[in-house]
Amino acid sequence: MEMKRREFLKLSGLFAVAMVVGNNVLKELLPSDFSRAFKAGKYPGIVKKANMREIVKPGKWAG
Amino acid sequence: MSVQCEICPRRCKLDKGESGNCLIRKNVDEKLVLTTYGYPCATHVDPVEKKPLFHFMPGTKAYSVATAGCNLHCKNCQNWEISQSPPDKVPARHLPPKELVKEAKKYNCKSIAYTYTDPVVFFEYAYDTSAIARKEGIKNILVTAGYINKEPMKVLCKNVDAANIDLKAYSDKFYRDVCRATLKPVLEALVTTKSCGVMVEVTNLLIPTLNDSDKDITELVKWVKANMGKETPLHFSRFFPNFRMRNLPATSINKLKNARKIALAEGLEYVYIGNVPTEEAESTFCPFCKELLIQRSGYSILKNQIQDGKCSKCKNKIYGVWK
Repeated sequence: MEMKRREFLKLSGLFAVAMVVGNNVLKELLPSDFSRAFKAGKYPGIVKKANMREIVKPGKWAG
Repeated sequence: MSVQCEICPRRCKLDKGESGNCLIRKNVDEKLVLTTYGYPCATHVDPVEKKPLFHFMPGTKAYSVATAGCNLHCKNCQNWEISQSPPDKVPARHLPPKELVKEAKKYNCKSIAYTYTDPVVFFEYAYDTSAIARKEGIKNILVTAGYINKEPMKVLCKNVDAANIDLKAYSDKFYRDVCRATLKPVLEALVTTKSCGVMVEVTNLLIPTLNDSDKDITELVKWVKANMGKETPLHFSRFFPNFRMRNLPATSINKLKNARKIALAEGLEYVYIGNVPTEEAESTFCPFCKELLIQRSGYSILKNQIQDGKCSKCKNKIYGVWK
């Protein structure tokens, strides 16, 4: 099949647009490649005991 | 081999032994590890109004939990001792998700709030706990700056009932200068969270000269109304000098009142003032008949006239989670 230069460029342009749109739609629909972090074996800081008297009070922290 | 963290827009690429910008997500033996999983540095029983959440089960208690670390570095951070320190400098207790839910139940908390620092960075701990909590009939709350990628936010929202998300300013420059972050991902997180069916309230801390002009406030309010809906509760909160921003005074009460006036005039239905006692600006009024529905004083509920999620007078639906 013969194709003129203008027709080829038109088809290429349409194909490129379809690829971009399709890619964006697929990105929305498919699960992302985001992966969870693992749990640490050991806490790097000091591990303290729970202070129940402090817990029952509203925190000093904002939020 | 390096690993890449994809939780937040920073997308930190970590070489072996290196920690991310948040200080707690680390490349350990070529695996991405959350070093604070199961080790909260703060656990408290708070009134839900402290989050602040004014449209979520008023008068109930929220078991509030945080680990060290944060992916924002706000110069005005009120919780900088825990948010801006690496975990080896912050003592913590061992509290795996199951035990956390058990403790929330023990203290008769209707919800668990992932708060104080930012649950974005302790994502896996918050997510696993929220899944157990939901099964046990306990609700989940996020208190966050919303600097998170879209996919993890969608995942986190699966078990979340309510969120208070900071919109620190409607200005990318502000985010860059004050928080070392950017605005766009926060706007996206706000919209994503609401579209996931989570009840969202927004907080805007007004800092003198940095984000408190009429123009700043109007732009922010217009964005909230257009993208989140006029029913979205908005809290204007008072700034106090702290951490690396001690050169500015506390926000004047008139500025806060003026911001509330602007937001109401722009058409937002529920606008509050926080961190300062006021009579009218911490109460909820029916946007339809103007009846006083919830009267608050600090974190106490003096009166609640909402019945089955509706105004007791005109019977119109009031936005929120009420039971």
